[in-house]
Amino acid sequence: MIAKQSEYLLSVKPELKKLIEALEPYYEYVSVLATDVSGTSFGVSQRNTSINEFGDGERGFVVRVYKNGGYSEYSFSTIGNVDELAEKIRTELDKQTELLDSLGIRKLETPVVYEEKMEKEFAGEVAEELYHLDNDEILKKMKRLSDKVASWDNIIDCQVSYQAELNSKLFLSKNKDLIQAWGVSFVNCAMLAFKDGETQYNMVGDTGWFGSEIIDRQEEKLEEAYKDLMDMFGAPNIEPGEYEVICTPEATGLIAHEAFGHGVEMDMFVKDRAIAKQHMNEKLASTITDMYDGARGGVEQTASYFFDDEGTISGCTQILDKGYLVSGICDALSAARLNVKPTGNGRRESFERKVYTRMTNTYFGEGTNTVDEMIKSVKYGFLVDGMNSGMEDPKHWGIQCVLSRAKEIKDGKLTGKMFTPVILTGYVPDLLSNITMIGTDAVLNGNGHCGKGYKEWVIVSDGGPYIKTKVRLG
Amino acid sequence: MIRRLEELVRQCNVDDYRIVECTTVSHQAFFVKQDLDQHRISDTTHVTLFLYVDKEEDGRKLRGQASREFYESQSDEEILKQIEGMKFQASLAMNPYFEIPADYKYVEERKDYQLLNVLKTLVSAIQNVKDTETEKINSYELFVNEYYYHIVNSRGVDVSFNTMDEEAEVIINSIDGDHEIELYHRVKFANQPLNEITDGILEVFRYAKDRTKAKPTKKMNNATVLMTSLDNGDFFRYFLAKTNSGMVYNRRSQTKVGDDCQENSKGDKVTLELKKELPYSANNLPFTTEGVPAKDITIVKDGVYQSYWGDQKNSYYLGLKEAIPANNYVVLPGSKSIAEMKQDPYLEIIQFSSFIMNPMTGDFGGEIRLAYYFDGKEVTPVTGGSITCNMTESLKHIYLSKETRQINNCVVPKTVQIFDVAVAGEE
Repeated sequence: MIAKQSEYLLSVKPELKKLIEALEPYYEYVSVLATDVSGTSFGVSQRNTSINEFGDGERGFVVRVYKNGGYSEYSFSTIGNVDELAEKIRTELDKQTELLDSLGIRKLETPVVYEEKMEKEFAGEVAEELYHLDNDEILKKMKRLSDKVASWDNIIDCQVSYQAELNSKLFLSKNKDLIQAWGVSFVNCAMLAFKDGETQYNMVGDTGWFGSEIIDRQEEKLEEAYKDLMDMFGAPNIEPGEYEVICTPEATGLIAHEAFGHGVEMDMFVKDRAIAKQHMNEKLASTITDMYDGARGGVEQTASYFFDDEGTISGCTQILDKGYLVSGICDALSAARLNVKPTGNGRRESFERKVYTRMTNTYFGEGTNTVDEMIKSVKYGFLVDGMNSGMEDPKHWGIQCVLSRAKEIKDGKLTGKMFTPVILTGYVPDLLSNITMIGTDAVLNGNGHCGKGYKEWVIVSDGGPYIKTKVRLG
Repeated sequence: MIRRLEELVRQCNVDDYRIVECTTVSHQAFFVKQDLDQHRISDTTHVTLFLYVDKEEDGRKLRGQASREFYESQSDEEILKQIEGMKFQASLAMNPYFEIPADYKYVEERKDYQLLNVLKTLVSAIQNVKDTETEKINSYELFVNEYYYHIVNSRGVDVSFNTMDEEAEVIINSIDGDHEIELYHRVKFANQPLNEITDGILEVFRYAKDRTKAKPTKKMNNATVLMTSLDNGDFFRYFLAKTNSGMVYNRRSQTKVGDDCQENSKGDKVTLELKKELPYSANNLPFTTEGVPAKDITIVKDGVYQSYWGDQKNSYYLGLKEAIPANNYVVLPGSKSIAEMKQDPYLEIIQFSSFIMNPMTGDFGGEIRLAYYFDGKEVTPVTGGSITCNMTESLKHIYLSKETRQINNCVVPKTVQIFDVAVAGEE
């Protein structure tokens, strides 16, 4: 079915229009973003069952205004009397402006954002059940998975979590009247094992514009994940060094995210914090490498939406084209400062936080190689898998990816020997230029949040096909 | 809103309930170099209801819980309908019975923290940090926040209190010829003297200068590593994770009170204490959002686990009388000065790109953003490469510095010395 717009947002829209009218005499630009995100979070493990509201749920508003070359914002959760609210916003922001002016602080002069006139409603395909979840049935499915894994040797728990989220956002300004709705599901099965005083865990999951059927889909992945988990016991640390490495789609996604996801966020160009600014249109990866970021037009995943938190219509940006860095991703204010077009990547952690340039769904394009071909081509190296975490370094193109395990490959064959955990580090252009083989099937997963530095967490997805490169492991 | 919601939930025949109202006022300013990027105010209230439904099954008392946020804009009918839905959800999400806190009364009138003045002072202090010829502030973000909590439950808890905090994220550049680098500095605090904030930035200036001259970290098989980074707070959180009641009850941690995690070890023994208050901490909350008062308690003494801590439900399951919050923690200093630790060759890590601590497996480490390598003759700044260690192994031979430092809500040894570390680096 087509996702329904939030009745609440539709009901407050006239008041928000009045609020804009009340503020417009004082500002050169006024916009309001209203959000209504709700959902349910289910958890089943061997010792706990829970149903709670989805953690990223919110209902609130943020006004953005422009005056004398600068932007300011006011976030609030209750409208009340519109005239009083407008007066409060104006007075409070004026006080803050006066205070900053009193310190003699210069403004980073920014042109007012240009907005074409647009009135449009967007809605994605959504699983109908997200509007009337069968709580009992969902918990039963989850319990079945948890119990199945828990019955296996050495397993001490299997925590299955499922979240169903309904999003609706309204963006209003003088020229724009946009509303959107979509729904997303997340499932994760984390298996925990204990053996000889050692604890190890592994997980499988899936995300996307689905319903609770994605819970069932995890069953076929469990046995392989359990085998990997058991192989992790007693696995030594890897001998630090540079190796031929094959990355599973999960590891590929982490590299995409940390390499030329964060590296091409153009609010970092404004601050001269991203070296990519000086290397646009240069060849920085092997010629078989394509990379994309897009909320729409590429994939439908957890970070898909129709317009961003600044009312910019989203699309799909090709970042790497046959190895050339052809575009960054950009929010509206950074675009105005850089005199480029925004790409629909202006996102907030919540209505209470500032917009930054953020990734959406970030992934490598598909190639022509099979996984068997890749493995056969390796004299000595590793197949790396299991995303733990990563960190960007756009200023120096350093990359850090923490992965759960590396499976040894010798003379074109997996040896069955495993090493854990693994920290993949290197210089992004080297890592990307060393890509010599790319698999045929891209897989994305959006079971994680991405921070800007160490805060501002937003839902993203990333992925791609298997890739083969050469990089340092430790 | 809290009283209205309480009235409505009382009509719904639930076994217990808890309501948490949190009003946050936040003043925020964002700068590129020393120019104002934009400024923001956020004034929001969130009201969340937790309700509990009990039943008996096979002679066992069970308790189900559900939670959701409610909004002032909702009608009574809408709220009542949603509470009925929550009751149904709670009836499906059954766990062993636990009691919720009872009878705590504590009322603080809402304070005026003069946030604008606090922001002004903070902005002014950072504006006055002078760039050097080679080091400069690239950009910074400032947040000054006040929180007003009101918590009620069906067992007579009615507590309200205020708190505030400040946060600064500062990006620092250093240039050497045409080679420019950056270091990241983030601090969270409350009412800390401003000279300590600016001193922290100037310390990073010095590190940034060294990073421009840093050589690639060399591969080493058995390095002695000194960890002197702000991540030492997270390093010692390992002990909190191992003793967290939720982690223990759900078998993510196998720790038992009385276990000695440093049995037959060489070096210093770890002692970690929870503190309800710590000067300048942003976490000095008198009560948790469950309505439980903060406490001082020892978690680890000389390597032996003394107590669990955690939320009400899991603490009840482990036999604690009530929840034990972990507002702040202090790790006692060790036996060696930093100067003594630096007598022999070492790799001193000042900043990781992102420090990783996995308390379930005990694995920790990360990529090195800045470190100093002492080969026995001279000290060289290095960058790149990584370390991967395991806590169980590291605790067998570890030294903690006599010098300590405060990192927001913890005071920990400034330097931790670990041995026989494999360093991934240039061959």
